[in-house]
Amino acid sequence: MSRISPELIARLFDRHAAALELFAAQWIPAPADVVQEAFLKLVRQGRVPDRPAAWLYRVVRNGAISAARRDARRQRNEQTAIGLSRLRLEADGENPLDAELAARALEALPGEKREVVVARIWGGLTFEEIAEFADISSSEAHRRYEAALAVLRKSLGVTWLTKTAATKR
Amino acid sequence: MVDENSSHQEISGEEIEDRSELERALALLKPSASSIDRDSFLFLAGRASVETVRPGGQFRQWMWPAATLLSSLAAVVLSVILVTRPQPAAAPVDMRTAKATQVTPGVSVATAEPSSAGETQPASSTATQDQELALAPPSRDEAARELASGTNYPRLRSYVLAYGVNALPDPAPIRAQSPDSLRDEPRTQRELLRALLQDRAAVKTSTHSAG
Repeated sequence: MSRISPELIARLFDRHAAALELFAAQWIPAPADVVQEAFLKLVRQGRVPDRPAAWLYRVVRNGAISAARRDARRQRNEQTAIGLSRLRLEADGENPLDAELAARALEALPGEKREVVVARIWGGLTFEEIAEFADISSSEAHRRYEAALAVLRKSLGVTWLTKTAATKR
Repeated sequence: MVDENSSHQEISGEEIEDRSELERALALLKPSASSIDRDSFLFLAGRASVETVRPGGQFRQWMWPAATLLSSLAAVVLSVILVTRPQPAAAPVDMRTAKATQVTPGVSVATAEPSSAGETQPASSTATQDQELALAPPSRDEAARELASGTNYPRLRSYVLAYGVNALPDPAPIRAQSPDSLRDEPRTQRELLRALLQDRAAVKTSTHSAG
């Protein structure tokens, strides 16, 4: 393990901060604090872990789950924002998928599959790295990912087909 | 059968293609920009990195808890020592036992100091009596000496408590042997010789004056 440099922190932040917030948003409505705390923890540690991205995802995951447990009682009393997805995705003009629908489909996934999809697609993690933070084998991570994509394809089916047809035309 | 297999392969191939397309489409969606302010985060990160490097950080962290623990331990040890230490020999005598032994001052002094009064203890004295004697107030002579020297106040007080003020000895004869009177006497051989010469000179002058 080498020492942490400011450049590395800045690079990790630029690469992973948004994806980590999306990842933590699975459990908590305001994930910024947890993500920032994970980065600061990495800085305080002083040493770069073998797989920094996997380390960050693990810390964010643990922090978000702890925060969700802590705030569970408060959240139960609060009025939940019905119809609004907690996972925020943005689409550019050429994308055949509707961002809001995709986010809802993603939210409908079981938690263990959703976290694999988010970490793989938006975090860019390998299955080994996903296996590391999720405490599963890499083959199990791959299996969950495939299963999640199959579910997403079914749930986005109509929109997906119509949009791709329109794009092809 | 062959047709079924080939159709299955076609479906799975199509599915795979579909999945990869879905994967690509999902990857094109971007997560919302981070709500963390980059500049303030980098400032906090810089401060956090300095905090970890600062020398003596661990020491400062543990200094006060360690000091508290040590002082608490010292307090406990001292308390245990205070509770379990043996009673001092000159402890004040219990008033009830003192009253029981006090008949008259003269009699009580005689029982308290067998060596000076020339009396012996009865043979049937038990261990408890020995203990009482060990804790007994000082004898009359001791009290007189202490009264003259002005030292060992607690022992003198226990004597007064046990026998009363009237039992205190007359301080006049003691003063004759007080250290003040001893101070005039010669202590070294040279002083003794000088005193003898002075005495002899005084005798001579007196005989001359008489003659």
